[in-house]
Amino acid sequence: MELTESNAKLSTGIDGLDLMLHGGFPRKRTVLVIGGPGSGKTVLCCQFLHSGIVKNNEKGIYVALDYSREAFLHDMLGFGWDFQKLEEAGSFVFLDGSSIRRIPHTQVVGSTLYSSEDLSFEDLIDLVTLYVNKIGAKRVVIDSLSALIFRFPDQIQRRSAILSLIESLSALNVTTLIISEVSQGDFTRQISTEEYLCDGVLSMYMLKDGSRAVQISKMRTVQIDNKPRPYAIVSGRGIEVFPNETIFT
Amino acid sequence: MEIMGDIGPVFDALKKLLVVMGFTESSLTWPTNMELRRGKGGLFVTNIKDCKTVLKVSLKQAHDNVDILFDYNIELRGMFTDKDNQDIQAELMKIKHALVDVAPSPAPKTPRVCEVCFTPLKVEDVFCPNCGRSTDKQKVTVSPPQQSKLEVSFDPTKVQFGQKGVDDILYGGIPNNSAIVITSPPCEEEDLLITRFIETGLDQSEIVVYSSVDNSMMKNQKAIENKAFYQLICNPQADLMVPEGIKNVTKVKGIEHLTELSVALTTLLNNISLTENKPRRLVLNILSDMLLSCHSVNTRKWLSETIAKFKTKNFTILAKLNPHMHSKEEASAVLDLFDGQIDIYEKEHEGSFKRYLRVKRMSNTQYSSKEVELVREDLLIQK
Repeated sequence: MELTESNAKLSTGIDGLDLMLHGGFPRKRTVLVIGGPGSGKTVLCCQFLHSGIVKNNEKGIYVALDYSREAFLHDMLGFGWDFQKLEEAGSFVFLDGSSIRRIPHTQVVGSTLYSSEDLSFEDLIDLVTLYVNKIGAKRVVIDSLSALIFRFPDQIQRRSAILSLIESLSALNVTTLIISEVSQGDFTRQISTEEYLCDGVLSMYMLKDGSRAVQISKMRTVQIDNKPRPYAIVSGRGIEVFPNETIFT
Repeated sequence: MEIMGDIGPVFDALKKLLVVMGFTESSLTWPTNMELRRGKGGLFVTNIKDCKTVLKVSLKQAHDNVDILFDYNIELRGMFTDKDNQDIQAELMKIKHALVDVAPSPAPKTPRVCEVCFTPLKVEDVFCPNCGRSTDKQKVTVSPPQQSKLEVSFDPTKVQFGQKGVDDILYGGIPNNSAIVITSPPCEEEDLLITRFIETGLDQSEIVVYSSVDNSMMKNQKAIENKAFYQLICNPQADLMVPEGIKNVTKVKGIEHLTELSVALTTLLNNISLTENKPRRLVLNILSDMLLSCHSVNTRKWLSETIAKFKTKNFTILAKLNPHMHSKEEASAVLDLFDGQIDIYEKEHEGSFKRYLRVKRMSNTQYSSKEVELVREDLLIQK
């Protein structure tokens, strides 16, 4: 599909966030979603998947590395998103990647000794490629990058692995959200390697007073509102971003 | 003033009209003089219609016209200012013009003829010059007087407090779509005035949003049963403060969470149906607490955004600030964001303390700068 001005962006499924992005995420790009525990990263990504399937007829894949299928389906129902039904209809695939995460550090395949890191990434990319082609998916969510890269203590190896993942996903012509965890969930956090490599970075903060803020710090090719804006996680509806509100700190 | 017609019917028509306007007859000498009275006067009279008024009317037939002379005497209370006097003069002119407009039309001037031989008659003819028949029984037809009501009309776009004395010095109320602050020490009169402001809005089917750190409005059955009444309670114990079954209540964990407060108000606005083009009211009973917790910079920032947000949705904003809780500098930092300021203060009067209200400033609207005493009993009386 040729990218024109009208289809170059992909609605996030969240009206307020679309306004901050002047339309949505750029198509066929990889966006990193960063946040602390409980900030709603998974909810945001699943809202992106669900609205894509329901409103835009764009099939989606969710790659779970530390989230069981049962728990996922149950939790998402709380927001009114019946992914099981979508899966049965062939619009959605839940890929359980937890087995990849559990592979020992080295493994012999034939006469070759592979390190677990190589196998993890290769397998993950193969799996995603297989299902993207099988169902014709346009949206992919990987939850989470942290579960994959914690085995790369070396910065160079880590950078190389992430770059490889991003390039492979780009070749699939899908728009991918990759979830990454940070321990310090406020505006003072340190910038990580993956933020430099992805096309976009969306940070979700839990502030000291209990309020939540979302900030788009990077989004290649897209004009953005880069100010932090409040958001809420609403039961039965998902994430609601308030693009005209100010964060009072 | 001259009106075409006969003195008798004009006298009767005028008398009926003045009675409709609220006057009662005091003395009559038909058809030349009448004296009428209206109002009772008194210290707390704030409306011209209630001022003690004596109206003397003298009539005199001059050929086909009736000359009418008015003498209008009104006892004005000291509270009326020069600006009020202008309004009173305008009101008197309105009465005068109303009288001219509704005075009986003269009977159609059909040629006067003898009933027997149809010979044309002159005005002074008592007997027909042709047949000698008496002309005494000639009929005069007078059109019935139109009825008129005298109303002291205020600007209908103004947002009323619903408290007569206060609305009068504001010439009807505060301007629609404005933001007004009441500066007052804590007192029951102020609370009652704000309650009256809320109830008046609800009586007029307006949407009212009330934000507070306490649950005092929960006791106001009239308000909480009204579907147009929305509350925002900003308190860590909000869950315990709101009884079960109370609808339209949003809870925020505390006044210091300005982002959460802002989001809660936006969500509230998004959920309210604002299709009707009516005035809407927002009462901010959180300003002093906010200023204490968040200080002037953040409070000013939050307030300016909130005022702008609600003004775009056609809300009139009434905030309350206790200036004694803050330094002069801190209070000043937020006061200038408002279009108007109403001050409530205490004064000693003949050995007892009374509370008074005065409009300190009000942009782009006329108001009286006189003070009005706030009487608790008057404020308690339901309209």
